[in-house]
Amino acid sequence: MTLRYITTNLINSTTLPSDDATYRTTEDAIYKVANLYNKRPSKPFRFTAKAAQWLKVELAAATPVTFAGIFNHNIPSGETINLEGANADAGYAAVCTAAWRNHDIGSFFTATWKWWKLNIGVQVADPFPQIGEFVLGNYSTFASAWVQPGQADGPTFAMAESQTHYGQDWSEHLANTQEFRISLLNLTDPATVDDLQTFLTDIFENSNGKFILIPDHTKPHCFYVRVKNYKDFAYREIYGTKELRRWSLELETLTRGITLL
Amino acid sequence: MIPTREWTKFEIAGLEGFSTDANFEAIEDWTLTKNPYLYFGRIHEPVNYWWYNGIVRPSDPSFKSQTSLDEILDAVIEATIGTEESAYDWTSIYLMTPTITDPNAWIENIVNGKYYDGENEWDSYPAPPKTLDYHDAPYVAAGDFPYSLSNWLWSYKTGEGCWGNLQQENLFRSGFAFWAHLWPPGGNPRALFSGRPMRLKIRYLNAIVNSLNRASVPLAGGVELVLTGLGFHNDEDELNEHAHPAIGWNDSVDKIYFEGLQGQVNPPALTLAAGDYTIDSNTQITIPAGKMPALTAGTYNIKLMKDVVAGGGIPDVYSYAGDFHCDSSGRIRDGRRIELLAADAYADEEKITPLILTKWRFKNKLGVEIIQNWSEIDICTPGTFYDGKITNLSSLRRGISDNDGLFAISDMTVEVANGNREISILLTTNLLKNQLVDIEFIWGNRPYAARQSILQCIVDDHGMKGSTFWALLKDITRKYFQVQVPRYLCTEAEFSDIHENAKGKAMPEVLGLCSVTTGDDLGATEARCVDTVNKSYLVARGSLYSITEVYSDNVLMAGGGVDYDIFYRDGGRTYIDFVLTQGDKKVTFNSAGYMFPDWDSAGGYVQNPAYIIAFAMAFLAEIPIELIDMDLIDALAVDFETAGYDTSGHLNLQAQTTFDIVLLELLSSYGCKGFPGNDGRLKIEKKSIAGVLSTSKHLFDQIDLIRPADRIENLRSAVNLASAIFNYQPVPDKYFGSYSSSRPTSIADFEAEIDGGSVLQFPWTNSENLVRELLRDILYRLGYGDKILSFPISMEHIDDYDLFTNFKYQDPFGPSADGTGEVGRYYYVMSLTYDWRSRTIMVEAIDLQWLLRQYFILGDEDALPVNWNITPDAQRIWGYLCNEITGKFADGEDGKILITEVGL
Repeated sequence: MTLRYITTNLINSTTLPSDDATYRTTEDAIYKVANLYNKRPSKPFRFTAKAAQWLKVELAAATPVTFAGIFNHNIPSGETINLEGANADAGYAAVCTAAWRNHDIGSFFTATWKWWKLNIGVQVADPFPQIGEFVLGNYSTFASAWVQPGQADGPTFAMAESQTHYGQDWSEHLANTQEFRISLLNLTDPATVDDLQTFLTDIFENSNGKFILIPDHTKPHCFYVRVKNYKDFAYREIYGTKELRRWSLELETLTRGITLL
Repeated sequence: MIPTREWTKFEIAGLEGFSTDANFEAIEDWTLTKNPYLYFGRIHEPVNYWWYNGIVRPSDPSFKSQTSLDEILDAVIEATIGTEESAYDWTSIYLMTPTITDPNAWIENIVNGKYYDGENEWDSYPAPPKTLDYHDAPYVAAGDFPYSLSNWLWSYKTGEGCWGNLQQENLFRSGFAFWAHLWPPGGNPRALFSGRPMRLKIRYLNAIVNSLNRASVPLAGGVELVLTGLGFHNDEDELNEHAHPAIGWNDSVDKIYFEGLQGQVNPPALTLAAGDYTIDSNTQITIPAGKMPALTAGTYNIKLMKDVVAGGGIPDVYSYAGDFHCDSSGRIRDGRRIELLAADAYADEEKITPLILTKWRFKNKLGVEIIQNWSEIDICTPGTFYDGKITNLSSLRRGISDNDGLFAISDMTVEVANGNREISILLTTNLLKNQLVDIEFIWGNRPYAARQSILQCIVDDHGMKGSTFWALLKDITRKYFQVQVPRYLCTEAEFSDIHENAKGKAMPEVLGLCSVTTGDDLGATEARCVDTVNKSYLVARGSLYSITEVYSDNVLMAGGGVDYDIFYRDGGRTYIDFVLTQGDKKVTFNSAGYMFPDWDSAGGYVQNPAYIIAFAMAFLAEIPIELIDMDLIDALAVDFETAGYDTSGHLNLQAQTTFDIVLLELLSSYGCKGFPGNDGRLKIEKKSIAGVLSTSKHLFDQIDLIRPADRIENLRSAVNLASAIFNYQPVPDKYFGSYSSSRPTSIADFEAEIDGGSVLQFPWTNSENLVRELLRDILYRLGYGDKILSFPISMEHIDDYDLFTNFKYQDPFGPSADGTGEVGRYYYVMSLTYDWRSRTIMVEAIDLQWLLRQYFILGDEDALPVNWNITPDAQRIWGYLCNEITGKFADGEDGKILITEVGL
């Protein structure tokens, strides 16, 4: 098992512009396609029709991609979600078909195309398809770091707690997220660049500490997270020409927001 | 009753026509004039003809054709009319809906003075005779002034169809035109009027759905759905009330559509003809369980269609449920489109995830608004996205003062994340100060349409601290209540020959009977000498019903042209024109005040305390009438009338003061409370027994209260001796009534007389009986301290508790002889403090013992049949009064006896 992460999304306003029928079947007037790459899954894109909907991404040139993900979607189980690719806007070839998961779906593959097409089909009884973030990118791994077991992760629920003096409960659920505490050990030597430090600098300077986390590449879970701790990431445990450093990351998934009918 | 919308604020313009052939068809015959008041009439002289038409159009943006409110039946304009000069010929007053096609937005661009080019703008003025037959046209005689005009646009005209409907495009664009028709023709007749438009009412054919009996239906349908509202099947006689001649209208809801909002396949329309539903009454439609269709999961709008027949001209009439609401008198106000949820796993009572929604308006110098919607978390709704950028909301308190009756709403501070500098950018070109902010609440598992208003605020101040933007909000009523009343002053700019003593003085506003005929200062109100040359005194800004006495330096003057005459001109203002100059003398007068036909008491002018308050709000402070809960005003007026106080109110304003002071004086004078309800409207109520005992709201100490309640006796606030003065008139600056009362039991128990430290003032009533009642209530309420209950409850109760809500409180530690506590003591809500962070509501409530002690309650008065004869046997355990002589009830059964329960 390997921890993978994606820091750069190839989808942006150039590769998937708003208000352009070339790139999407339908587009809600409020929930525009620009919301697909705003690093804010809670502010989604929404189609205004159901059957045979698609999104297209036109990269500058044929580009290798190893990861595609959609985050905070509302597509029901059993409906079509697949990715295709082509070097012109025609004759698309299958890239992958995603195994459905609630809210967030990620797939690994290896393909090189200029045009990418995400196909979604839902039934009349379903809501209009909605996607918080659409990510095409290339995953990375830490070359010299190993995830250590024994750290907490799982959902966190924000609650407004109220209880009468008799114990009657009136607590209110407000929202929930997923939290991770990840501990990594890496062996560094002065001659190599520390890839963890490079990673942190990259995501904070370019994405406000947000990135896509796949804790275990053999499992289907992927998360759009932000780093909650801003300092004191690493402690040296062994010094010498090759030192051992223990890194602690506190991560939290970005909120999915609320959708009202 | 037919759904009706009302407007009370208007923009006014005029058309001045001159012709030598009385044709007036040519563009050059007319000039647009910008009048400060309604002005119209005619002067006919040989060869020369002058026609003056007054144009009146509601200024409120709601005066337009809107979805669900787009098919007019008929309309009436009400105005107070005076004559501009003493020379007057018998005249009838007509209305028109001017056919003005260029430019469409003439009101905004012309009447406000931005453009002023009558000849070019008014290029399609109609020939007046085209509209002569289509409305009431009353004859007005010289002795009829001030005249309360009520002119109906006919609902039907032979050969034409529904005239109001056919004219609605012109009506919405151009308003009404007043003009005069001289009669009899011939000679050199003349008549010039001026007046004040008071109210426009439009009756609509659209059906209005206020509510459904359920928020959701199961996917399989099969449940009864009841629509409540108005206009489902309007009464033919009412439709024909202003038709010439009467016709058959076939006015009923013919189809009901369910329209899915998430792309669902909609079920076929339900039709009346197929018996898919029943129109139970003009206010209720029932779709029986067997006819309620299966629906795909999602939310649905409900659309109603009427195929009204009126001789042609009326298209199918559509309306969406909830777009508008009607009160019990048929008055329409804005609503919120209903969304029916189709789902199997939904329970109306299930409440998950409380959400605060806020809507902000940034406005630029051109008046263009940029809407920003913010919440504490990103929220997607069908038509609005709420940015989850609110980082902190201070608590908000809405309360009523139990002593003076006026409400108090705390300021609220909102902190908003501005890390992306979006607000910084907005503020460079937009203003936020005094712009509206809507605060709404919704549960996260409800359809967006189910959100409820908490308060409408204005931005009082704002600033930034680093990447945080903050704003201080105040409640919107400040905008209306901080105005100065009377709003209009006598100025040299308007009156070039004004007397020095009148310069800058307020134009008096007079309601009710204001009279002082004894003492050193005679006359209740002082007139303003606005024209020393013509010896003219302005006595009121509006048209007074009558002036009974006029004094000049306390000397009674004779009317009817002997010493003075009365005129109603310059927009219906009331003037006294003297024959001889009065120099520096102080001119005062007694009068019966303003009129408004629907609100007048038996004497013909407004005196009912409820309508005094309503008039002051709508016509003195100029608060849009849609913001006033007129249902409550009407109910209050009935209560005052039933109690014999329908002529006990007056209001006599001579000097400017802020309106909230005036409103506070009015509320305390009549024992009323005023507050903005959670529907955004101003509510005026007087606590009564009605509805108290039948309240279904019951708070349990162990279950509902987050912390044990504070039951505060406030014995230090006790009052057992009260003195009051009432019936104030400003000229003598004197109260003409006084009354004192006490609580002997409290005095005896406390061995002290406690008077509260000041004399109570009830300036705007002349009724000693009313004052006696008010003092009684105060002494009952405060005789043993003002008993206040305060406690926090979960925000889950937010839907159920508003200001003035009655409820029962169960307290296991409440005083009881056998130590079992109190099962349900009656209270009403005095204040609500919303703590958004903890999601709790702090409630302050007043013990209703002061009110209930005034009644001898035989059983449940709200639930029991009204007399013994119709009472089923099971309910005869309660007390009913029998014949005191025979000792029997009307059906021959023996009466009951009063015994002591002790020992039973």
